[in-house]
Amino acid sequence: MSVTIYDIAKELGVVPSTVSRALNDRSGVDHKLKAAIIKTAERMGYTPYTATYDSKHLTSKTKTIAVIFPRLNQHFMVEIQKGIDRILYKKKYSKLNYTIDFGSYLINEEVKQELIFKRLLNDQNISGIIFAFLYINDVLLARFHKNNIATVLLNNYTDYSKCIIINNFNAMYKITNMLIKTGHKKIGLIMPSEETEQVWRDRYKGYKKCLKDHNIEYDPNLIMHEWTFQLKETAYTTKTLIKECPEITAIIFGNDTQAYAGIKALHNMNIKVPEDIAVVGFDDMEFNHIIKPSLSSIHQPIKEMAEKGIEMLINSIEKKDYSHEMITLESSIELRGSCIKNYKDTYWEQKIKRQYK
Amino acid sequence: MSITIKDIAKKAGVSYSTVSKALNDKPGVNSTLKNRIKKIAKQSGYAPYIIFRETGMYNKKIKTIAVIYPQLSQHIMEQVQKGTDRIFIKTGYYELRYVVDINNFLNNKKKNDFLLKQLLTDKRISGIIFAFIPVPNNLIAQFNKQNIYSVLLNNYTNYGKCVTINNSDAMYQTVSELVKLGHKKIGLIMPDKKAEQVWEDRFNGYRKCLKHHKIDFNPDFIINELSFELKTCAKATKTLIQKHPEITAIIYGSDIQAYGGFKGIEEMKLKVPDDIAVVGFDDMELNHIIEPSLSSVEQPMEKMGELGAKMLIDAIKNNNSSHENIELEAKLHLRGSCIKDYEDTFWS
Repeated sequence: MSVTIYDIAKELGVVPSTVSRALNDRSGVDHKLKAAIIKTAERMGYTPYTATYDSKHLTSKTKTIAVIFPRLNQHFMVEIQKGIDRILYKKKYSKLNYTIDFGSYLINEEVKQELIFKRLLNDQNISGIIFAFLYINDVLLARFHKNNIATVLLNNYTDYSKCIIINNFNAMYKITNMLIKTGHKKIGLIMPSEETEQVWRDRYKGYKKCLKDHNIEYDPNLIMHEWTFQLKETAYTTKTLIKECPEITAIIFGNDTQAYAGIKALHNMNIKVPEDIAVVGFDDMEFNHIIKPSLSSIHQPIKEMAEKGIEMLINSIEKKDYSHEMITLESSIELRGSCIKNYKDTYWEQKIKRQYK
Repeated sequence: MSITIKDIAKKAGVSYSTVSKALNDKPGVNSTLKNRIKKIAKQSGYAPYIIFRETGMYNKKIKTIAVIYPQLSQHIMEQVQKGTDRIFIKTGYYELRYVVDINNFLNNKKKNDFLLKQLLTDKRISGIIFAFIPVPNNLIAQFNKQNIYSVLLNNYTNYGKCVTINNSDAMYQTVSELVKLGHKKIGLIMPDKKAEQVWEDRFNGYRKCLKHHKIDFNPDFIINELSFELKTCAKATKTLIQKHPEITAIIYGSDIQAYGGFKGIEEMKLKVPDDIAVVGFDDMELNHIIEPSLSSVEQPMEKMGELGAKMLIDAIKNNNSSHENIELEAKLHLRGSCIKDYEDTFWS
């Protein structure tokens, strides 16, 4: 006969509900008692319900999907994983995570792609792959399809597979446009160079197009390439840019972390944000509400992208349809205190229902 | 039992070396035979060790370790990784990296996170490192049952192995520094001491230090706040100050909680550090961004990563899931949130 929580309760002389609380890790049980209960449960051979549930959930028919990330922004990784997990759980798929480390420059691009291919192809039972923020060449995609593995690219474009991209061109165009409309003409850029990735190419294009539409001359001196997302390095770059072009009135950064360092550097130079220089980041992280002034940013639909991507992939697996399809998502702009003077951040106005003793 | 090339060779009626050549795409096997062998291998569920060979980690016993990190702390991830990488590469383990939202992870206790279920059912995983994430004991017990061993970094468990700092000492040191600066009414905002060993140890350190300095302990100066959300921590701070305006310093459970606290203090129209000094825990890089720069307790993360990886690999090798705890020394950094006109050397 199997052991129940009643048996454990009897053994320890506590009520069954305490045992239940301890085993399900709910509040109201002292951590020492909790440990004792768990140890007893283990000794008596108690099998929690979750274990049986798991085996039912993931049957032999469960299909597995691999998700491949480069080592990217953690904020994105969490958002992508959240989106993917929600859908996968509903559809009873399981998932493997891979992080491709681009820290090692020892191997060249072709070899790298080949390695990814081999690794995935030889892993058993993978029926679909999501490449998140990672460029994969078309030949490789075709080879996956030949092996009956469906693919979806997130944030990269290809003619040979399904892909979802965020319209970075529009996002950059919109933010530049907004800055110009509020009177800025000398808008600086600090972000990785356009050769590195499509994302940056699109953003540069959006920036240039917007300047052109407003008859503002493009000045390459206003642009600094900064490919690290490190605080100290970016602060230094910001300082250099300001020293070289003191006429700048606004700076757009590659992401929020870069913008934090930028604001810090400006403050250290006794330059006021937003009065002297307006600052915009990308990604819209939570810390934006803490920094002073609150940071304007571009909110990217990362979670939506992940959800749509996984749905596309599952469709593709089930119908064995590997044809090209593309979805474009738009980002929204959040203008805050780093662009608008005396801005009041509504983030803090939401009521919190919590009582403290 | 896992399938080897010998089994495939038997089925296909060829020699081992032919199977090996075919599966590795080496010359010397004609293409029809190669395809046939590959097909048999696939049908019988043969999993080759390519993942490991590619990284130079070829090892017959594939062992994969999952490392789980909290969101919002690139810095922690990089530091811990420096330590773990050193061990994993040397010993030929392969690492899967996950990043989780800490609030989601803590609040979804009723239904265990999908991620954990996956880890539980992923047959390749033989060990997990939880870096800077508190994990319920019963979960670790479940993992142990499946022969998946866990090591917690910076959090306690009564049930597996952990590498932590000496939390009691760290707190003692922090309070003692604040007392030296003239603070006597020191508030504490952190999770309930009953919830985890970490918090109990810190609480004990707090009490011990007050006793040492002959300052009366007032339980009302402590607010239990389990959440690491900015908004709730701001509210907790406001509540504490409203009830006890005499408080001149607050110590938080983590830096993220302290960030929320800064906002709460600002909304009460008070100033850091003039009216209230603030100390966090973990020493994240954003501490240098926030103004004034946040004082914090730094954990030796690289060392933790290295020791944790070593412990985990030993546990896997010896099939040993017994409890073990290594305690390291932490270091307190006093910055602008405690000292007026402090100049942060990070930027120079």
